Amino acid sequence: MDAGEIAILALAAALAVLPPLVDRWALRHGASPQALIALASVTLAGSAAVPVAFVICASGQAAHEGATSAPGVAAVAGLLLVAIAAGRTLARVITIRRRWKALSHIAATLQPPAEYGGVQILPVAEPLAFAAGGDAYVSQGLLERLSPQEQLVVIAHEREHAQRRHGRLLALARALTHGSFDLPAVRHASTAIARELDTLADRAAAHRVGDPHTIRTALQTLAAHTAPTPTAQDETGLRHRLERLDARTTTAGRIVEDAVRLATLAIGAGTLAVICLSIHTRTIWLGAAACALLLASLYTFTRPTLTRRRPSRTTPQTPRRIPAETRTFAHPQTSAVPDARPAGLRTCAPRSRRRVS
Amino acid sequence: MSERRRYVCGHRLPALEADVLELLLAAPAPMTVAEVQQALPGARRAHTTVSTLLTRLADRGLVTRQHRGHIYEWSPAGTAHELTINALHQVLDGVEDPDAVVLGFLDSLRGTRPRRPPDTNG
Repeated sequence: MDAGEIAILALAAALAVLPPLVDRWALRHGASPQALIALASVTLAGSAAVPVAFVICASGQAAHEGATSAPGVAAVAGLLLVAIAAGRTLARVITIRRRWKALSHIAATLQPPAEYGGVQILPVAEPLAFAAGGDAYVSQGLLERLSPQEQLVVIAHEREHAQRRHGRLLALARALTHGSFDLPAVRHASTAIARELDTLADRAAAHRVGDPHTIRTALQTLAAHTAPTPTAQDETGLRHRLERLDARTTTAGRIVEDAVRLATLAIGAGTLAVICLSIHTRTIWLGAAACALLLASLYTFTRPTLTRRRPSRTTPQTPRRIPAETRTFAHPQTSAVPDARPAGLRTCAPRSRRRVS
Repeated sequence: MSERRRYVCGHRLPALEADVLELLLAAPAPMTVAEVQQALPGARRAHTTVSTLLTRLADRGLVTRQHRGHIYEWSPAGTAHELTINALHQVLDGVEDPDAVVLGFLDSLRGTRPRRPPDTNG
C-alpha cells in the first residue's frame, strides 16, 4: 500500500458517507439549492474519478511487477469495470439525447397552434409538464385542468428548467447513476440534484408570478388528478417542497451554507489530490491535465445552473412576464379530443412534397 | 449510399426508409413496389431492396399493405399527423422509466402516465 492507494480508499470512504449526511443535515436547516447542487456535482465528479485513479495506480505497479502479479490482476479487473461503467454511462447519455431530439422534432412537426409563453404544447390528454433539454413542454390536458394563474406557474417552472439547461446536469447525473450500477452514493447525489433543481425552478416560478400560493394550488390540483388518493409520502413530499419555496437568510442558515460549501471544497480538494497522487509516479503534467479536465467539465455542466441570471438581454424573445392577452388558453377546436385534427393534414415530409410537385 | 438516419414525423429512420415513407405520405394513392421503385429519387434501387425497405417500415408499424389483384400495394399507416402523435406517445412512454431525464413539475409527487396500447393513434 503506497500513499496513492491509501488516499484513494480514504476518498472513496468519505464520498460514500459524507455527502449524504451533509445533504440531509443541510436540507433540514435550510441551505441554498445552489450549495447543495454544487456538493452533489462535486460528489459525482469524485465518484467518477476514484475508480479511474485506482486503475492508474494499480497499472503503474503492475508495469513493474508483471501481469500475473496481484496488482496486475487488480489493474485488469479494474480496467474492465471502468470500461463497462463508462460504456453504460455513454449509452445512457446517447439515449437521453436521442429522446430530447425526437421530442423537439415531433414538436416542430406538429407545429403547435401557438407559442404559448415559450413552451411547446403537446396534443396529449394526460396532464404532463416537463422540460427536456432546452425545450419546455406542456400537454393540452394539463392546460385544460388548470386555472390561467396556475398555468403560468407551471409554465414558468418548466421554462426555468429549459432556459438554465437543468436537463444537461441532471442527464449526466442520471447517466452516471446508471453507469455505476446504482451505487448508493451516486444515486443519492443525483436524487439531490433533481430535488434541488426543482426547488430552484419553483422559486423562479414563484418570483415570476409574484405569488407563492399559486404553486401550492397548482401542485394540489395536479396531484389530485394524477393520484386521486394521495399517500402519506405524497403529502410529506408536497409539504417539504412548499416549505423550501422561500429562501431563508438567518444566521443559522448562513452557518449551514458555509458548512456545505466547506464540505464541497474538502471533497473537491480530496479528489484533485487523489488524481495527482495516483498519477505522480508517471509525470506531474498528466495529473495536472486530468485535474484541469475534471474542473473544466464540472464548470461547463454547473455554470448555466448556478450562475446568477443575467438581465433579460440574453433572452430577448422571452419576456419575464407573459403578456396578459395570452394568459387564458383558449383552443376550442381541439379542447375535447386533443388528438383529433383534420385528417389528411400533412404537416411533415415537406422535402418529398417539393420533390414530387 | 448515405446511411444517415433522419426524422420523419418524429420517427428516427435510416435515410432510405425515410425516403420511402415520405414518398408514400406525399402520394395520393397506395403504391406498389414497382411504383415506389420508379418514384424513388437518386439511383435506381433493386426491386428486392425496395421490398425490404417497405417490409421494415411495416415492422415499425408505419406502413400497411393491401392486396390489389395478386400484388401488394402499400400505404402509410396513418396521416402524417397520426404518425407523429404515435411517435410522441412512444417517446413519452419511454420517459416514464425510472431514470427518465425529464424535469417535470410533478416530479416529486410521482404523477404517472397510464400506458397506452401501442397502436391506438388518435
